[in-house]
Amino acid sequence: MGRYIARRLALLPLSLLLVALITFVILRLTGNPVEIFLDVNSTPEQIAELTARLHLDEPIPVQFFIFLRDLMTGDFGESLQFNAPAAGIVLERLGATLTLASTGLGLAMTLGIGLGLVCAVQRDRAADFVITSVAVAGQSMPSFWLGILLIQLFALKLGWLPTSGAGGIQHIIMPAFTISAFLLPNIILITRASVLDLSHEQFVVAARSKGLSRGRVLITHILPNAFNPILSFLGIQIGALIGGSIITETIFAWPGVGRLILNSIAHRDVPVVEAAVLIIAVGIALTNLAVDLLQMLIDPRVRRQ
Amino acid sequence: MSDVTQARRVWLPWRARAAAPARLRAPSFGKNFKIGLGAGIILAMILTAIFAPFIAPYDPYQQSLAMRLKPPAWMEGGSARNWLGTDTYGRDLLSRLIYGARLSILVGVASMLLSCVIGTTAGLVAGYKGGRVEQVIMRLADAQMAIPEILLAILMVAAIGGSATNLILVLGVSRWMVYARVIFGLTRSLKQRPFVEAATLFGGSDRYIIRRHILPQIIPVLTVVATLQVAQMVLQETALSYLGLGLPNPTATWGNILAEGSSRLFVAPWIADLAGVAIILLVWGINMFGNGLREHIDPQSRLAPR
Repeated sequence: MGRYIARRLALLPLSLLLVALITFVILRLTGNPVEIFLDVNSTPEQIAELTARLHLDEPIPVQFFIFLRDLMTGDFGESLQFNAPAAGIVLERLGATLTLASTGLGLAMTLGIGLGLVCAVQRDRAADFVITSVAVAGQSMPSFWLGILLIQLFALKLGWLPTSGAGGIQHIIMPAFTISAFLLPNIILITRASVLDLSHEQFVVAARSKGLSRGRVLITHILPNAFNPILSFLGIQIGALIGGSIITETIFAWPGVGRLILNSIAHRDVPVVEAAVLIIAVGIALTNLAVDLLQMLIDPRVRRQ
Repeated sequence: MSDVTQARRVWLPWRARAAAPARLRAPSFGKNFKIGLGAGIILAMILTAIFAPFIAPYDPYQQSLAMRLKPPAWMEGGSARNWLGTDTYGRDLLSRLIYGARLSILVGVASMLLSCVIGTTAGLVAGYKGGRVEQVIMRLADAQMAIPEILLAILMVAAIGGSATNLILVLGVSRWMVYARVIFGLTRSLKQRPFVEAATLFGGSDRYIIRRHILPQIIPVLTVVATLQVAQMVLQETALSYLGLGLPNPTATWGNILAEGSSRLFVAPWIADLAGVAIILLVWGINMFGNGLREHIDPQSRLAPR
């Protein structure tokens, strides 16, 4: 197990290097930021100065090595828009995105596991049929469309919640629900399937024959074992969760990294975009590792593989 | 003798299943309502897309100031002239949705094909060759998994601009890993099967073995993954358009209509709602079809394990 963790940790820098390469290649295709930033009347000296500051006068491979060297020191360069270190600007906005994403994740987990259990217990009855059908339909919905429907109902028609912005609890309700819709249908279906699968296992039969009640067996014996498939799903979906957050932030004008990225792309603020993408990628890679380790911790069978 | 039949059943699950007792046999296509229902919806959508010029009551790009933001026929102020109402520029929403089906389906299918070809090739090569080749391909796939697909697509569209071709390219490249990972796992396990080892011993070339012995075993799974991916591509295109990174604006795509509608929620909520309904209908049909197909191929994968 120690060897496995060591191997994973050793691969981490490699995969980050590849991420850096992908980001670098794509962003250098975007065109010359100098032309967009300086107006038509700028002097050749100004152009030369900005070009030199961004190292755009160097050959592309040299540019990549300068980029990597700066990364090692955590220096993503100065934002062209805000005249401040790019990494700082991204980290400032990261909190809002993480709040939103984790609230959405918590909501999806609670509702998903709860409803999945209901489906499993009520198998083939009305509740199961209704919840599974809605979940399958939910998989087919552009999740941000839910946000649009929520705005219509709760903000425009009923006037209970604000349409956009950040602030109190009332601001996060609709965005969090919208984000949770990216994961919820699958969590319901996975929970349902794995609980039903597990209910035929010998340890369940043994627990029942010891005289434990159905509810007790479900909570203390089946549920802990059903966690692992859900965890593996979440591990794969962390990227989708952050991607969903980018769209959701746009719908609800949530001041997070997603809107920062879109705004910076529009202004060709290359350092900020690079910083944001790399910070997100590091976060996702680390979360994936954490999920794998958590699975080992929870389930001895995974440890032995 | 019985050993031989036994062995066959283990090694060739795809064919052996047909020889299994009736109650274990996969249900026929006709009995699986999901396949029928899904195929029906998909077919209707495709026909609508193909015959759009004959079905659509108006030109989807014709603007009319006098007819701006008319609600659908069943709402107050609506008329049968514009069944689903009109948008900000007085364009007929029904006609725009009908024409929108063309691009949504085209982009969805074409980008699925592209990512399928890239991903399957990568997965086959990685799984078959192993070693260093495998490391390079699969590590690249892992690295790309660390960038959210939609973010990668946003970056690429921003870099090369939004046209139908670019959109297909971007979506295709952003999801190849899905295929690569599935096909890699399958190929690696198939490679250890005796029939592949035998073919290798007989001197079959790599290319022959992949085409004759590995690819046919992969096709069923690949079909299911590819079908379900079309749905994901349609959703992804919608999301990109919503962010203003889809096809340039007057173009009638469902994503564009939805994006335009969501900026007019106060005055004309029906635009965003109806575009959403069109998207859900298509994606739901594709998901139905894909899930039905999976159950047909692997009856144990049914939603309800019994």
